[in-house]
Amino acid sequence: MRVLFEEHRRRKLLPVAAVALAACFVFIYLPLTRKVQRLDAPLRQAWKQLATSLGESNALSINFSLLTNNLQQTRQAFQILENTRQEALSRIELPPALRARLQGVFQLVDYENERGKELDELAVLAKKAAVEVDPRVFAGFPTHTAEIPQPYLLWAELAMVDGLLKTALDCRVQALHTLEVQTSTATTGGSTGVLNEIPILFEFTGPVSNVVNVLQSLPLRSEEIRAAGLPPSTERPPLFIDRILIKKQTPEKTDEVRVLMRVVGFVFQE
Amino acid sequence: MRAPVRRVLAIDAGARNIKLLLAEADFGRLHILKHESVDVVAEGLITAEETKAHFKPLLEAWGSPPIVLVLPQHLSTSHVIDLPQAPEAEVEKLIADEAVKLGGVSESRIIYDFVRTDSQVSGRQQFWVTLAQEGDIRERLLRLGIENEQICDVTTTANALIATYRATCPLAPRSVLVHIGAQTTVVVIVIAGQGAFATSFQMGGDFFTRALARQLQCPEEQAETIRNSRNLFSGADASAEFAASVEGWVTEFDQQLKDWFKLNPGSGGGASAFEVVAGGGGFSQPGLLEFLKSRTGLGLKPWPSLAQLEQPSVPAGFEAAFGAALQALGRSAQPVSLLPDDYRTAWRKYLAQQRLELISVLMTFLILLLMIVGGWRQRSLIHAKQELLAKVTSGQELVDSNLALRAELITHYNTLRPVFAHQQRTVDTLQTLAHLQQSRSNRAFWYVLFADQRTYFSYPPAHLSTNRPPRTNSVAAADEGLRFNQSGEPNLLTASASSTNAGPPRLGFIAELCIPDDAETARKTLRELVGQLDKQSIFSRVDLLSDDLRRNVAEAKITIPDRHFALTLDLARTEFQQSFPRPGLVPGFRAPVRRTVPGAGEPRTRPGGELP
Repeated sequence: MRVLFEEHRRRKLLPVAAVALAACFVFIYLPLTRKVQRLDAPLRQAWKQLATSLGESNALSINFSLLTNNLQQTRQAFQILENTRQEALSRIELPPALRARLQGVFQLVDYENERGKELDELAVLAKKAAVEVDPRVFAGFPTHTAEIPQPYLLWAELAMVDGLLKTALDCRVQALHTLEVQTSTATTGGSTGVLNEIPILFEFTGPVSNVVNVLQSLPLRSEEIRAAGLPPSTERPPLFIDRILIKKQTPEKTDEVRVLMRVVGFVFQE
Repeated sequence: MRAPVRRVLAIDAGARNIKLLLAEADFGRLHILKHESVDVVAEGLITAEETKAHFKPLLEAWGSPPIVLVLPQHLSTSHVIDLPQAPEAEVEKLIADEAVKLGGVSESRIIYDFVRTDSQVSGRQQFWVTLAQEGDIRERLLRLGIENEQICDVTTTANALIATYRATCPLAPRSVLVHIGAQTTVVVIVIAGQGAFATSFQMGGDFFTRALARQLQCPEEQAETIRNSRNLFSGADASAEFAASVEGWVTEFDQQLKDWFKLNPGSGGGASAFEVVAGGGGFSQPGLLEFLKSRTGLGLKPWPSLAQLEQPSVPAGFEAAFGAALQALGRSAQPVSLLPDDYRTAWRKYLAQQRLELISVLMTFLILLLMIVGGWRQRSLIHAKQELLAKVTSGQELVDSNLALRAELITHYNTLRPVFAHQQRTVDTLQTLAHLQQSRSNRAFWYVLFADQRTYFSYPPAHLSTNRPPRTNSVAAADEGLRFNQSGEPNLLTASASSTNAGPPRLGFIAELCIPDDAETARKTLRELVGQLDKQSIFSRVDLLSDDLRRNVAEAKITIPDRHFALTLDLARTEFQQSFPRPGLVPGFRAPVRRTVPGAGEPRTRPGGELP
């Protein structure tokens, strides 16, 4: 400091200081300022892109911790869905023999043989159980046509129809009126697999308690049916109730109801 | 505005010695950096060129500071002027006139300066005026060879001594300062720190030396040595003849004081009431101070030390130079400057330039500081922006990851949603049937029909029938009508065409029942039944179905006219019925919340709605 008060030294120092200041301004301060300005454009663009991604294009503030929380929540939801998916898939899992048929090459002759065998078997069982079976029921068994894009699904439809009718017979219904397998729909989940939905229209008559047993048995697997104390049934794919109409028929038989329902079975392919 | 001078060189040029004193004011403290007494005879400084040649390297070595010159007292005059009360401008004119009178007839211009002093007389004002001839001042500057140096001030010996004494003894009421130089003795009377009288007479150390040389008949140099080394007033070397010579000085000194006291009778108490301070090279002679004490009867004493006043110790003989430095550094309460106009102008320019340089220095510092702060701020901004950019980029990656994961999540969900929906529908159907069965306990009624609402409302309304049934009883639907088409809708030929009042699509069930009791009991039973079912958590709403929404589905032969009722049972859990849109397609996509079943009346909401 003392040098600043010594005139002759101060006079030498001042120009040097001015030049040094100018140099600092040009070579240090200005580049820093330009760097600050250059950062504006990418920052503004990134901000706008992020705000737009969040659906708030004019947002002046963004809660960054919320982004992390959202991702965490999505991961948790994904984990929950994955667990639920495993449970759901294990419930609709087809019997091993049926899975093998679905994965193999479809042979119409094999299918027709199996279909005929099951029709015969059903007729025998119905006669044995004294259940009246309308011919429309036999006519409703899935049939191969040239328009069917995925004929291998006929194996699943056949198994589901067979299981449905045998469950009704096992639960001792009085009459089977109609059966119709409707066009299946497929939901594609990309890498997750394809879910085929097979709807079956079924109409039958029976006592209320037996009808309830049929309805309760449909979504259960064999071991669950046994555990629930319901009439035992053969191993079959589970079926779920989609639509239902139950009504009493006559005043003489107050316990008897006629059921028209649409049940759905699923075939999930990885 | 005081000069921003921080360092000055005071030059007190006597006949035998030139005293140089370099002083500096450093943030309120005064420092004597250097002092030097140059013997004019010994150094051979006879001409101005010789003096200039001697001083030039010295001044450069000392940093070429501004110079304050002490003018010998005999070249100046200092007086107290008594004036009536008048405005400042008039006072200046009066003093200027008085200065001309005091200066007498002279070809040279008179330079004067004045300061106000305390006046004891009411209605009057006093000024301490000092004046000198400009020619004398310039001649002095030329003789010292400093005419081209930066002269910041010129003052007189008397004023310099007053400044020094005031700094030394600021509280002294009355004092007489006696300064014996080589050729001149200066006498200054100070009252309350202000100059009251100043004079000089041509008797100094050289006068004593010459007297001793005549007495001893030896060269003056030898006499000077003897005078400064022996006590000639007492002891073995006592010389009555020399003492008689000194008596002449005493007589002149007394006369000066008597003259002043005679003119100022109100000064009080005579010379004995004054403190007499002795200074100057003349008092270096051994025994002189004691001799003068005894001869004058005054309490002569040497200059007091400045150490206790936090002032630098003034070397003996440098009192005048120190006083001049005090004045130049702005430490004198009564500064008197006899600086010629051209030097004053040059000095002002110098000061202006110095101020400008000082401002430039400050501005340089300020700019440097601003640049440091600005640079620091820019660096902070860069860091902040880079951090924010990284944060935003990271946030964008999070959002992209989240969107991708959500898309995958929704794809997974939508793939499996039919399974969940049908599972839920199956469970709802079975639970509803169980609740309906349970509701019949201990009650005399029976259900004639149970259907999901989509199936039920796909039948034509009852009032469109040609044979409209009684209000509370339905017409039996034909068996042929109970068929579903490929999409699951009942395959009724008349349904879609004639259902101008078709029921709304709902998620729930319809239960029709017959209550055979009387009307009042039937209403009560119906109310209890609705209340019981409504408490079940699987239903969002349980109520009687409006007549206009009734359908002819139940068999007419098993129903009782006027006792046939229809209940609507709306389900609470409906979240699996609709698929989610992909998050990229809908901005601000959020997980769905539970939806209420549309229908008549106020819908009730229930908690839930999380992703399955």
